[in-house]
Amino acid sequence: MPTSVLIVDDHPSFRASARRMLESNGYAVVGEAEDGAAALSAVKALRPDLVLLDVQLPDLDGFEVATRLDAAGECPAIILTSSRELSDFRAAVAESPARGFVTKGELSGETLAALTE
Amino acid sequence: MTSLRRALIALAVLALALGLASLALILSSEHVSPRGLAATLTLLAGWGFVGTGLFAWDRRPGNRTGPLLTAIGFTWFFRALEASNNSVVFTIGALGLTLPYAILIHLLVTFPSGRLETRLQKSLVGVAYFITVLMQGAWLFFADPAREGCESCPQNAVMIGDAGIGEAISTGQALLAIPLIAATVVAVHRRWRRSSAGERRALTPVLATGGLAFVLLLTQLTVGQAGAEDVAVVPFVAAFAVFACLPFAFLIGLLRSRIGRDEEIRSALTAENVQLTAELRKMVEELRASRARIVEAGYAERRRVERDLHDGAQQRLVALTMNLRLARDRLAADPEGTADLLDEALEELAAATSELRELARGIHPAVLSDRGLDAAIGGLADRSPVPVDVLETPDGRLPESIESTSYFVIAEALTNVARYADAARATVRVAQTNGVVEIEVRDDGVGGADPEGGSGLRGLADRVAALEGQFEVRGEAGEGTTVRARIPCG
Repeated sequence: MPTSVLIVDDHPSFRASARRMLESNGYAVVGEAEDGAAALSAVKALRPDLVLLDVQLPDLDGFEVATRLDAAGECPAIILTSSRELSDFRAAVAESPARGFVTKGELSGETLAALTE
Repeated sequence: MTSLRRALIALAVLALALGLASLALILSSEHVSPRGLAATLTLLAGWGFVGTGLFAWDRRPGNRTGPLLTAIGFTWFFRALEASNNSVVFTIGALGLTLPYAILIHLLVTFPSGRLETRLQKSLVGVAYFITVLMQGAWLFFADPAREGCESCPQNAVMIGDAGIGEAISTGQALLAIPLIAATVVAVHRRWRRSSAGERRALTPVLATGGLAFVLLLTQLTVGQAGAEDVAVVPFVAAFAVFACLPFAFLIGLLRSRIGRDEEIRSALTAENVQLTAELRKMVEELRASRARIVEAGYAERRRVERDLHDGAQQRLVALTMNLRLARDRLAADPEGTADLLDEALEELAAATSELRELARGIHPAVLSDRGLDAAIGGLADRSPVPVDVLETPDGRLPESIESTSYFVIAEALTNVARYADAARATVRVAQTNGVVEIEVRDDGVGGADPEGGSGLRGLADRVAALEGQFEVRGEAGEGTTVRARIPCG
């Protein structure tokens, strides 16, 4: 069974590219969400294995979404992503229940697989 | 020569003539005794008061001391008519016998301003004129000179009744004058005690001499009322002599009160200073606020640029990267799908390039530096969704800061026209006249813009103010909007 993924990002162009990349790497994209609140309810409804979660969202930020999911006992693997670099978020990523962080420009099947293993 | 000085000279000539006339009257009088002393004191007092009064009047035209001194001098010649052997002239002179004392009280209690201000001043002076004008006038109708001990005096020309009434009125005058003079002396003394050292320099000669004259007069009146008429002559002559010295005391006092005038000037300067300081403080506050807004606008601009980059070109480049990577991976297996991915990548690239261009222009339009305001305004007009007529632009180049500010005023105004005005057309005019660059953007839209409303307009106003220019937005609802800036230019 392929790994099910929820994409959370407010930019449609990124969601489209990410979907195409994930699907071509054998992931099943089960849904997309464009802000933090939509992400929380989508996780509850869809129970994805993996959440590709943008850090900068219009309402809650990605760290907050990850913390809330963790507190709610939801346990998908969370990969944070941003067009910025890890150095901007290193401490916050370390404290977050998220599995890891990848810069958007480096997002690929391999980097994702390395983080979720 | 000023009209005031001409009038003062005329008064001086008049006083000279009246003084000589008084001298003639007194020296030829059959009832004045001793004539020499009376004539000397009359001239000394009359000319002394008029002379010092006119001098003070000339030096301090706004001060009433001068006119009051002059008036006392003339009353002295008025009362000299009483020396006449003619019954009518004698009677007229008798009317003015006590008047100088009332004006003197007026002068003394109001020195150095000459203005009646407090209730005490008004009461004292009111009672003084009541005794010396009204009561004196009433007395005149009942006064019999012969009965008052002047056998050689002419007849009272207006005598209508019982001399007893005249005596009663005379006694009444003295009984009122005693407490009045006592109150004046007390008031003057209290005034002196409360004065500052600087004020005392002006007050002392006046109040001491005036006070002494009145103390002597008080003694004379009191002794006279007690029935010792013969003894009363001594203080009367002394009072008279002191009285004659008084104008010079006033003059010294008035000249010394220059100190007081310095204080007036200082207090006026202080008031002006306070006002200027307040205005300056307000300007500093405004400057501080506008500086803070400019700094904040700078940060806001940076945040906008960062957001535009992040949400625009950066997202497109991220997508482009992912698509290119995907295309590389699929190249062998799916050449057709790869071509689609590459097409999409090209579109993203074109959009990213366009967005970066817009962004760069928002930071600083290169065309403005390279080719000037005219070309840059042309570009703004071309890109505006609302048709724009450029009516006038300056011929040559302007200083960079003015070109730049003019450009952003026009750009922001045209953006607002497109967003809010619902206009069919807009016009742009930039004119350079008499060292001022005037920028005007006008539209035929809905109007009703609020200059305080948007951060964009306030930011423009601050930019224009930073170049010491003026910025205004006009437009009643339904009348279109006019944005106008005037910037001084060298």
